[in-house]
Amino acid sequence: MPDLMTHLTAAYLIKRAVSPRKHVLSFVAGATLPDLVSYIPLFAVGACMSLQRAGLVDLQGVTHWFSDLPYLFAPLHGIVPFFLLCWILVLFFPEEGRKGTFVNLLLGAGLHFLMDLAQESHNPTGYLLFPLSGKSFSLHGFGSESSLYVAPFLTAVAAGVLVRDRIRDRNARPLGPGGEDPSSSGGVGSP
Amino acid sequence: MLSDRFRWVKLLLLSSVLVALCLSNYLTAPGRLEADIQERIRRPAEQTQPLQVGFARVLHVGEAGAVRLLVWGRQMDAWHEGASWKAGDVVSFFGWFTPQGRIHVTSFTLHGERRLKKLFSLLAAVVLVAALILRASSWKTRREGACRT
Repeated sequence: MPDLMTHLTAAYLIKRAVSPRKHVLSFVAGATLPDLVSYIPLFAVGACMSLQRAGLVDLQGVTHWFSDLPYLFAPLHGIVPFFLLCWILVLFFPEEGRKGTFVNLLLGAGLHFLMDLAQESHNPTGYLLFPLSGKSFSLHGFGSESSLYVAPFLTAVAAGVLVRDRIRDRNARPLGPGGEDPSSSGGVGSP
Repeated sequence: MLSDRFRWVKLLLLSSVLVALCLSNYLTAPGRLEADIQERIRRPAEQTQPLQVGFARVLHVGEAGAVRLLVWGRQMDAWHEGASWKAGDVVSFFGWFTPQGRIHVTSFTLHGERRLKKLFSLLAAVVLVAALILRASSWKTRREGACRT
């Protein structure tokens, strides 16, 4: 997988360029959630195992099922399970914005899977087509760690766009009756 | 599909399917993956510990695929049949540690200028297309605004 920062910033920039300000958050969430939901348990279990090796925690008796726990979440990095997860998630949203959120979560996830597919993979197994196939797929577009070279560049550009948006928002905000910014004094106006 | 009708029933059904999928993987994956690893990368019996490295520098290339690598700041001996590495190359790889402390590289990616250029070209193309779409949509909005006035 490209690193999380590359996924996040690429999704933000593409969404921001194509459709300004609409469902940016759900698109970016869709582009980062597959890694977050499937890899956080892996890192958490890895951290617990390291603590056990260091003698700081005692996981005797639970080690076997606990160390396999990441396999429970790994399928969420596949198209079918992630589609189901998005469907479940949007059912907690108000009905009026549900469709837009759902579509953007899926489009973000589509971008995520495309980026993953373009990258070289050393892993013989993968979850992209789970449960139909357990194979790893790759278009061999770029190296397994190459995204780390572009992540700082993308982060800088995304930060620049974010700052520019904030400045534009502030400049575009309507002024109060005395010419003052209503938001700066709670909308009441300065004395 | 996304309406509030039968919301809780849908939630229950979808969650059940998702939990069933995840549980099936939890119960079968550890054994299946071990078998896959044994079969697909032909792990030799004497090699014990798997190793995945993001960045390693090739320091010296010897005979019959033997190389000296700089891995995590340490110099290590490794070999890979059929790899055409040169001193100075940067690679990421998957392999196995032998009990003697050598690394048997089973698959690798060469980080080179060519691959980076490809990645940057891909990014530039995406940005260009996005900019064109944005320009077209703003032009359309402006034209609609002008028509209204």
